Amino acid sequence: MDRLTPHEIVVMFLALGTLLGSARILGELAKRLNQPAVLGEILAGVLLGPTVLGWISPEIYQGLFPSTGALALVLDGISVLAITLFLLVAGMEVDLTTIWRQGRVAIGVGLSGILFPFAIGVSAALLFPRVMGRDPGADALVFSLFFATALSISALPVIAKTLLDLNLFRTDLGMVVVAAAIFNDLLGWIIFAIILGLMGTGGGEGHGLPIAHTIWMTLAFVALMLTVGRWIIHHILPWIQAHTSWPGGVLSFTLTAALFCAALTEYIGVHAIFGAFLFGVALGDSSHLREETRATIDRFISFFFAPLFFASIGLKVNFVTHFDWLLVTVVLCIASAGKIVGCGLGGRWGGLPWRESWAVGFGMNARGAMEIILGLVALQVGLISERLFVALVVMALATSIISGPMMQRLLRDKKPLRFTTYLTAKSFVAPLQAADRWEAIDRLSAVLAEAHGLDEEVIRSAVRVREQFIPTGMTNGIAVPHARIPSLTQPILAIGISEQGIDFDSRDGEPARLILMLLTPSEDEGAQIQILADIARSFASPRVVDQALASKSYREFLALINTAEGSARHSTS
Amino acid sequence: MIQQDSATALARTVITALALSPRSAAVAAEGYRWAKLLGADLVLLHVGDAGEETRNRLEAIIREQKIERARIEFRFGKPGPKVARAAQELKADLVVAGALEKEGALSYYVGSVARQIARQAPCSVLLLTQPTAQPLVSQRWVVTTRHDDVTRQMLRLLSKLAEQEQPRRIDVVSEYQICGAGLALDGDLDDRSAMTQREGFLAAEQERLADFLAATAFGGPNVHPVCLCGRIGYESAEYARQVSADLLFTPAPRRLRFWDRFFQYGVEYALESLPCSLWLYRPVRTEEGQG
Repeated sequence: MDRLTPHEIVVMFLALGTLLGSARILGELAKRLNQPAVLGEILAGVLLGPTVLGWISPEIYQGLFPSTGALALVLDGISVLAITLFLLVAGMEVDLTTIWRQGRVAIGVGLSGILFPFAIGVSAALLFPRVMGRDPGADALVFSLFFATALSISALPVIAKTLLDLNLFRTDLGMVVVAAAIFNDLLGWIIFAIILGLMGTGGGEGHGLPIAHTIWMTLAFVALMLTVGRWIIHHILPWIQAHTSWPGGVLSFTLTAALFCAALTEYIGVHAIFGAFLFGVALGDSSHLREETRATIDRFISFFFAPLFFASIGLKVNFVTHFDWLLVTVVLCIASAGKIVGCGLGGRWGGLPWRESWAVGFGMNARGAMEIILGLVALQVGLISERLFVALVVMALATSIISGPMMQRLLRDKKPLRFTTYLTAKSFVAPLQAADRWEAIDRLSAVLAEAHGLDEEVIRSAVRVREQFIPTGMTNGIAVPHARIPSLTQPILAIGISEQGIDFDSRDGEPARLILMLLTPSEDEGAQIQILADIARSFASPRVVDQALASKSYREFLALINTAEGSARHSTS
Repeated sequence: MIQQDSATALARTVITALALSPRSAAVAAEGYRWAKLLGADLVLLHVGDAGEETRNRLEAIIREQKIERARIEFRFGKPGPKVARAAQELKADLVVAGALEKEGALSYYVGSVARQIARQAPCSVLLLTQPTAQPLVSQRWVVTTRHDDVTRQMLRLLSKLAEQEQPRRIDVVSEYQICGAGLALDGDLDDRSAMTQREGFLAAEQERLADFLAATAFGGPNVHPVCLCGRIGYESAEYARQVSADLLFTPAPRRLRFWDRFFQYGVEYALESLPCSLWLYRPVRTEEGQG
């Protein structure tokens, strides 16, 4: 039996340690700079690989990461295991119900986000094969299909992270982007699996399945996994959770089944990653899968396998000698154009305003890790050249880096709502006489009802019910009792200044002296959130609050807010 | 007296579907109680043989349970679809039926009689898991919100029912999902900021729920807002199970189809395994739009 020599074991651990350590360090650095960790991890590989270390000191590079022999095989095996598990986790994020429920916009964005870049990709690769980096020997159709898939895939983890950073995740726009990205991923990987099947290289010489068999078996596997597979997993999970040790039982089940599915798809002739991905989809769809299980697997893979894998990419390819300016520019341009235009039109078709549609397009444009995995698999099976692989990696990273800032720019330019817009002289009460917050609410309700010709009782009961669930006292002596009223057409606001202060159960325990009562139309959730945020921002400084309390009239109050706003802007610029 | 003043009645017709099983007397008693609370007419509906013996048994139930002014109706055919059909013909506001807590895996997809009624009836459906001949006053209600008009109408009905029933506690549950963010939250962010993100989601949802309840003027000392992160429909059903609720109210789509079971969502989780008695709320399409 072959075995590693003690020297090889020493080198193996040194190599793995060096890779993991440097990938994590550079990954952390990238995060500090607010960039995806994968950027730093790939950079670590580039530094340790032929591009930098191999150029400075070929002996050390060859000694640590030999390209042939037992060690090379070990590293390759780990890398295959890593991407397989990474795709398992990616699959677990796919929630079929979400796609189904998000409806027209998500499916529109997801579909046009695939079809548009796909059409552009196929045409470009068929019309200009040389420019797109096709090797003379490669099959024209298969290459074009792969190139098109590479342009149409997107990366859910990067997109989700961007949305979280921009505080957009739970907004309607965010949900659309996430659902569309999930749909996009699912479709993209299925198409890629079929392309691998078309190549007939997958199962390798040993299995030699005819291409037609590979294709129907792949489709049958997809269909079975998404129906019967889902059903079995959903019914087996509660049993496992009840009868095995927690969380070991579920984790073992997940990994074991994922590896078996991976073996099956590799045998069929499409890559192992596909089996793991589909198993992940089927597993993630079960309501019995606990959040902790998912988190444990996520971490195990994010902090060990993912950095190892991404760093190992840099070891395989020389990023300087294979860097082709023209190809990189062309790939980046058509990839971005196809995706942004495709998703943008999809969003528009689904009823989003133009600006938001473009924001969705830029959000979906992030390719991240998924593109790199796709490219690497294609490189390994000899479908693409190293030149194109380097171009795809650069495109994946560049699109991930620009997506956040572009979304932010597109969405920030929307004019923010100011609370002062909705204030009138009639609804300014100074001084406000009230013994407690309920009385203050009653007084301001009466003022608003009179000023705007509304039913006082409706206002009062809505604001009181709202106050009863979560007190609205903020810090700095501010309270913002509020409610959404069905009959309103636009937001209205009343301000009361209490000299002695009223207890609004604020977090800092201070009584409220400046009471702003806000009513917004019940259909317009956004208006309320924006105006509340504006109020919080305007009175963030105790000095402004003190000055506001001293204002004798409505005009004085308004002048103060406007100048305070002006000076705040001045001091930050 | 069943009929309240028609101006204050919350519903017009309540159908109680009776299979003439040992539980039928209890189901009839419960149906009668809800019909009285809603101020509605009661129809006892049996699908099957309309012979003398069946009629006698139904009349015996009416006598034993001291049910006043109930009408007996018969239909022939498949019980589930026929009850749903009768609900449409009689313009019922509510169908009351007994149901097993859990069905076999296959019959969940095919649908038992109770599930078929729940999925196909055009109006609200109350599935009773443990009907009793001497109905107890409800103790703890769990109410699912969807932040839409149907929920608003449901809450309006509920506040009137709660005035009469005085449940000890009403938990109003709002579910929210953060799917797709797992890798970003667990892999990319550090623990502290992931936690801040999750807390932010929860706070935003609490705010949203409080606003929604206020706008619907649904409140009171026994009303407690609860926000749960997870699958829509599944979390509220599990919550109702955990707190041993007596009744789970949930707004339901007009019709539940096979796809809703396949891509399980919302009320289908509760139907798969009933945590307690389940009230599927559907507004009635009448001129006044009351339900």
